[in-house]
Amino acid sequence: MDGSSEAPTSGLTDGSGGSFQGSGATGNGSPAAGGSSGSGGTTNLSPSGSGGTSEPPPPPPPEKELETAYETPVATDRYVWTANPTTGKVALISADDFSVRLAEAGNAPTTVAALPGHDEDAAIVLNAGSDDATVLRLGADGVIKSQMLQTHAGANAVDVSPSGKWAVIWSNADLEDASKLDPTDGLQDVTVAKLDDDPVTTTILTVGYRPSAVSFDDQEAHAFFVTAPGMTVIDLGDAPHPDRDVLLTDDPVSDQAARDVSVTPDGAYAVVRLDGQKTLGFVDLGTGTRDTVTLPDYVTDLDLSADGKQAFAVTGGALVVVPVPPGDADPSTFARASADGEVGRSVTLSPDTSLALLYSNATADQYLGILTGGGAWSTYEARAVDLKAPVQAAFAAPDGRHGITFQTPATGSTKEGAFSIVSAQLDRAPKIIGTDAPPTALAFASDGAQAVITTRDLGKARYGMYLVELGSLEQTFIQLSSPPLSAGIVGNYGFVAQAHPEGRITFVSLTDASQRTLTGFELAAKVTQ
Amino acid sequence: MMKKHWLCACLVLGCGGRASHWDAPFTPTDPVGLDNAVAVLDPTLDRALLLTSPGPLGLEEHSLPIGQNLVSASASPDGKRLYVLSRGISPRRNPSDERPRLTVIESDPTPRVARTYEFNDPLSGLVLDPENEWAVLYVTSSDSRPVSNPNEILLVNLADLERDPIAMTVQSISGSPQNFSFTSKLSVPNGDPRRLLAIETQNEVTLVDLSDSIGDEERATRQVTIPMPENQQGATGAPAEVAFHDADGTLDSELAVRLDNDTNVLLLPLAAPPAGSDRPFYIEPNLVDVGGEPSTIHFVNTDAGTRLVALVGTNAALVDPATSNVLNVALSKPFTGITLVTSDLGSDTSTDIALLWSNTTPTVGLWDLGAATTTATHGLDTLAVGASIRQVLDVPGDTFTTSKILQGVSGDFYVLDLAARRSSPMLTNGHTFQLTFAPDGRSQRLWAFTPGTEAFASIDLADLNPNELNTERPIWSVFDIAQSNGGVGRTAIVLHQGDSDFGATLFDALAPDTANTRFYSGLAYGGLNHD
Repeated sequence: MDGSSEAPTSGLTDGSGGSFQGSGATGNGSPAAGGSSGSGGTTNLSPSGSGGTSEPPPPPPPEKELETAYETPVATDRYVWTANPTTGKVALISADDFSVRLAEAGNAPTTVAALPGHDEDAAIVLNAGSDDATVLRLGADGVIKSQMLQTHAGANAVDVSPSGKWAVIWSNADLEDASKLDPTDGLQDVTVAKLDDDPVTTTILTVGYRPSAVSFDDQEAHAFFVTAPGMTVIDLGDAPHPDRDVLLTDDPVSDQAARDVSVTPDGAYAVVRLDGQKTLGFVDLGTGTRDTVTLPDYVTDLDLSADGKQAFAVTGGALVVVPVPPGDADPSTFARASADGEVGRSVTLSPDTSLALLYSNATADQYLGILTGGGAWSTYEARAVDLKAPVQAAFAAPDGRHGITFQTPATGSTKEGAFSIVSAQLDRAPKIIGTDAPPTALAFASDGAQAVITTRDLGKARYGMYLVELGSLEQTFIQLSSPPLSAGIVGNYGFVAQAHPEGRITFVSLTDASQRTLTGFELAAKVTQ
Repeated sequence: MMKKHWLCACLVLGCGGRASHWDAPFTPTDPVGLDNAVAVLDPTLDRALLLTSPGPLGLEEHSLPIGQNLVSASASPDGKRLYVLSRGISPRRNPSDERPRLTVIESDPTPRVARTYEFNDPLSGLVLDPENEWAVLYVTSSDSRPVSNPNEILLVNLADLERDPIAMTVQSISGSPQNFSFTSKLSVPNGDPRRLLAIETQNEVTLVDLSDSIGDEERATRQVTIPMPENQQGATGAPAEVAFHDADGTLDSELAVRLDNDTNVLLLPLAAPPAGSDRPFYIEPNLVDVGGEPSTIHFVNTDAGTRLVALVGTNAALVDPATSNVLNVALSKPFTGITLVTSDLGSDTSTDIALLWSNTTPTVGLWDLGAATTTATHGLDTLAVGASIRQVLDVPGDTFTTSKILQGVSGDFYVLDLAARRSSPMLTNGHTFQLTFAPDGRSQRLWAFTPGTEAFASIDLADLNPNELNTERPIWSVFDIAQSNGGVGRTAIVLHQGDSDFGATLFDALAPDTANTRFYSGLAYGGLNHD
């Protein structure tokens, strides 16, 4: 997958730290709205344009759809796992001693997902060529145990529940070539694997037309598939089965493409945003009841707090905090936060929601709103910083103390891209770094102290990685000899997987920036010795 | 049998005739120089004519039998032996038909056949170990057998001529031997230090353990074969060069392979074998991209430790074997060759000094690798010479260790004094000269000649003054040999080839003078001398 000119848009997390193969907010921006900002205070919302007689403003231009994931390696506690579709092998690369172990998977293994929750390194691998999956577990004795799982045909995605008890294997239309999909290709088969069973058991089920996302509730009693017409709720239980389908909007037929759906961790509610609309929908997944909150401006982005109690909506260039469920709350009483100088259309929140980064990539916008708050966001501090080059995506560190933006070249710049390191500390200036190739992937250390960023320009064959010390805002550049595919963190190392026929990965120590590159994961296995 | 032989001989002589091969034309191969002899191979009569010099301008001729159907003849690197490979009669139709043969001839104190090895298959390739311990016989494309095993080789232990050759089949999936390299003695994690034979096939490198501590059967079965990786275009790589270094306390011993048309080099550390294994080492390959297709690779000791240097365009990529990190050092010129001259310069530091040269630009460089990673110049001094360099020759012996002979692509050659950083051109008026030294360097002279001409030159390496010399006949080749019988003098033998014979003009190699020569003719027939 070529993403050399595209900034990240969606987040992937690995076993240890955060990894971003593109992420970010998508959706529509809204027209510039003034709104108060600055430090502290709660601002009541009032409908914009009140009292006017002119036509309502049109929806803002859409934010750019940015690239999603590659077939990338994943990391567990001590190992990076990477699949080779050609040989049918999965390489386990130790971050302790950089040794490589090989495990047999099925025909054309592609997608790998880490399996958390066990006292062992484990992963599940989808085998594209044989319509099955392989569960690999590396025991304390160093022996790799594998089990083949029968799946439905055409699976290309796997999501694992937080405890590692369940894996849901499904077919994501976004990962398929749209031009090759027939309208009758509903991709409705999913495979539920109960990983606790020994041997692992699987159940093949049917969900709604073209699922696009899946999540689990906290109890891991249900899995929720966002589908084209709405949502399919899977009762995991002892015998997984589809429990019900839930409509998410009043007009499921026309609203499909424009929906942004988040499910609360307890599985009680789905929060729905629609492009070009000023409303947020709240769907009680137990009863199917839908509730709507109307905000004063177009809602261009939506995120949920980790506990699912708050929805953070970007509307009118500001961040609005909506309780979930909203009940009878008056929208004018919702906490609102913004930063003077930045009309945000998208938001990125730190996991604890103490840091919000507001930006827009629909048009060239070099400003970033940095907002720090927390709790109910009844008080907050904010500022807008000029990052000199248009922001494409923003990422908040796991500890909420720093953020990183990916940027396109500034007008007049000789650079091919840029990134910036920003501090949540309001009196620290951002660090802006011009790059010789566009930044493409990012991974944070789990404590938020470091980050690894990759840059890639296939046309000019410029490849590199940066090790970023977030506390000091310092960065170290490391040239790579092959195109980086992804970044991640394993143990005390950042790693960058690269495109190479024999497999290539570069590890960089998070403590001293020393590097080690391994190429040819399977070469040792081919040696006759 | 003996009686029958004599009877046959008497009948032939009695009839006044002679064997037909005496009427065959004299078609020798190129002569081969040894330390104290010159060998002229006469395949027509299956003999080697060894010329020695028992005293000033003296010449003795020794005829020694060699096998039938000569394939090749090579001098050992130390000049003490001549190895003659012959195909024998092929196909053999009678029990008496001669088998393929390797004849080992030693010239000191007098020429003699020291050992003859016979084997079944007519192997036509011969590779000699620079350390004079091993020889490899192998199948080449000139082998015309209907069915042959291209991976068949014979290992001959030259250190012990009493031992029989070791037959083995090179472990290969799809290739056959194309090139052979002998390592020096390398430390291994599990066992005594040992030498390895690296055999390059089309797409693999196979290692043969040359340790004395393993049996020959084990040597044959315990080969390690490393398939070459795919390059960025997905094509399977072909080995082009093998380099090696010994363990240094930090790094394991390691081999490196340069690949054809590939920007990667393959590192092959001799790592510890898995627990419980009795193998001496375990190969853990790793590929390193050096940023371009390297012209050559070499392990060197730098101020940052052991590095693999790969010359890539105007850069040298210094590869850290421990991390695969690459430091690119700008060299300003596109050097294509590297020769370590650390010991030649008497350096007592732990870092190397390398001579860099180029076949595309008239510049050489002296590279102090002790400053490779820490100084702005990276320790490189460059020196313009008059031509791009085709080859760098060492001067044998201990007297002129800092002198190197640079053979230019244009035919000129240069004497480079590494210590003085000075290059002295030897212009050749466009002729391509062949250069030769005394194998032991004792005459302190360089000889330059052009086959087919009567003039040649002797260059005294002490003052670099060429001494023009002439013979009355066209020159075939020139050799500078030690006098036999323990004499301290040296003789320059200038060979002349005729239609059915050859002759020699002898000079005093320590004081060559056209006015002081002796000519010998009829050497194909026993020889006549002419003052």
